[in-house]
Amino acid sequence: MRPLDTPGVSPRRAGMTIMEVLIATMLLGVLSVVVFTAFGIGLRSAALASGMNVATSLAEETVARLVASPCGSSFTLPLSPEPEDERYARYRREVAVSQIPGTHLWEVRVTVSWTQERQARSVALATLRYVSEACRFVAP
Amino acid sequence: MWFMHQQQTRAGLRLRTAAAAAAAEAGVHRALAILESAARDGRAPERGWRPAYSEPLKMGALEGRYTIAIADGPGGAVMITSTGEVDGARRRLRAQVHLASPALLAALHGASLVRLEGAPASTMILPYGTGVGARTWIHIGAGRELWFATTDAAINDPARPVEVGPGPVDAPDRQGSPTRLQRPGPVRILLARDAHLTVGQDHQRVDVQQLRALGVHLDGVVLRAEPLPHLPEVDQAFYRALASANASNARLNQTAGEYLSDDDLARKQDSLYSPREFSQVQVYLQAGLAPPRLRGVIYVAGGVVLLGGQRVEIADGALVTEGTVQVSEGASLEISHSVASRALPGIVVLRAGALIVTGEARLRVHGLVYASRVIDIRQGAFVEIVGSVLGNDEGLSFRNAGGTVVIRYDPAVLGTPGLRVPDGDPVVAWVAVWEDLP
Repeated sequence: MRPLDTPGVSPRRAGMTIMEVLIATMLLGVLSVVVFTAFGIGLRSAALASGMNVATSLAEETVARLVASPCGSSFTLPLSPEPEDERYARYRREVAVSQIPGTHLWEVRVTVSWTQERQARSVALATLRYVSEACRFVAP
Repeated sequence: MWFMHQQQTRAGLRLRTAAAAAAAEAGVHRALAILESAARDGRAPERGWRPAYSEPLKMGALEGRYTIAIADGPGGAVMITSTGEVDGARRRLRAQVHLASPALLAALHGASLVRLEGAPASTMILPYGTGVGARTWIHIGAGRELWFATTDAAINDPARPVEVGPGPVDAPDRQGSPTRLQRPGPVRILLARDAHLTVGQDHQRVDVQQLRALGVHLDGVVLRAEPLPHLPEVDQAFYRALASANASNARLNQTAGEYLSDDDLARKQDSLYSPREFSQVQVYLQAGLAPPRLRGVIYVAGGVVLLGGQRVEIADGALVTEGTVQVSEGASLEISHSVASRALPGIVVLRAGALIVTGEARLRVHGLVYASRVIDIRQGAFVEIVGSVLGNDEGLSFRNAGGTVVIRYDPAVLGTPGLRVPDGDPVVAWVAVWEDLP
């Protein structure tokens, strides 16, 4: 076993120089900035994705409600711009149902909009519904 | 972090997929519009049109498109395949559609006069199964007159509970056990131009309010500005071919032929009977040596009479006759379907034949009941139909003169094979099956 301090011999101490510590700290800082920035971007993406998923679901649900009646009585369903579920109070939906002239086809359009990160965002779905001869035959 | 980025990609894909599904649905409905009417919108191709057809559909910032292809399917069905595409996302839907006569929208349709009477007669008309749209069927259609022959005519009287057997799509545990009917709703009536509601022996004309005052459980009357459409034409050759190919009764024919020393019947492989052959089968069944059960489509080139105590069951099939079917006092005729055979008709009476059910007889049928002449239900009879009833007689089309009649309207009658809509008549497109394709 080597003694820790031998007289007449200059000691070679194990460990890091101040320079090494500074470089290491700098690298750690840069890495941390990169990681936290990327993490922030990831969180932002996740939040945007969540917002878009909710908006898509609201649009799908609204379309489903509007086209629920095979004879079109649900086309004029009084849907408020605000969703019924308070958790989605920041979303607004806009509904437009119009008959294609000269046909018994109806165009159903639903746009759900919201503001996220100070930007206006929206998703839209559109479909067609045909009101069958059967409806006119038994309930004109 | 990668996972969080993926979430946004997935959210975008989910929106585009939902939009593609909406576009595919739009395509199916566009196709339905084409099939029901060729000229109404001036843009659609002919009803018999089959090539692919494509239209854009804008959804906010996304550009969508649907492409539809229409092809002939099995049993006279039309297959619509619609592909919705939005920004690389793609969804495909396939719909099996039947183009049927609007006459099949009525649970009870009389080409001319429908006559209902008071106690002990009772008529109940309800929807069968889930998903029957509240407004896409009607209880009674009459081409000339709906006659309440007595002022106490009972229709959908909630005070009269009735138990019925299972229908073709009821759960297996309910098979064989009677079900108490739900409380029937008020009746909606479809009348052709110049047709009337009448009451009493002198056919006094009445309106809806007066009928309600008489206690008829009535919702309303739909008055058409034109005559009712013709009843569909029955493709006789189609049913002959089905019966000719139906060998499931060959064993019964053989044992019946041997029992009655009828070599021709014993050798018979198909289910296409002469009236004599069918009566021989009935005699054998009445002897009780075999269960009284036939299978598949039975075609009789003449009339059929079930006498007192005779019992005939037809499973997964239909009885098609070229003459009157009479179910007499105490006899029983039962035609049942399963999910697979649900679209088949129950009874089709051709060539000026009538359907007569007399006192204490029992008739239980799944599917369409069609008679070229009158359908006459007499006192004490019990008739239970899951399907619809069409009487094509130009005079008296349907009469319930003292029986209990329960009709549970099954929209599957719109897919009945072997029926043709007369040229120039309107059709209704009924979607029998929706499928999501990969």
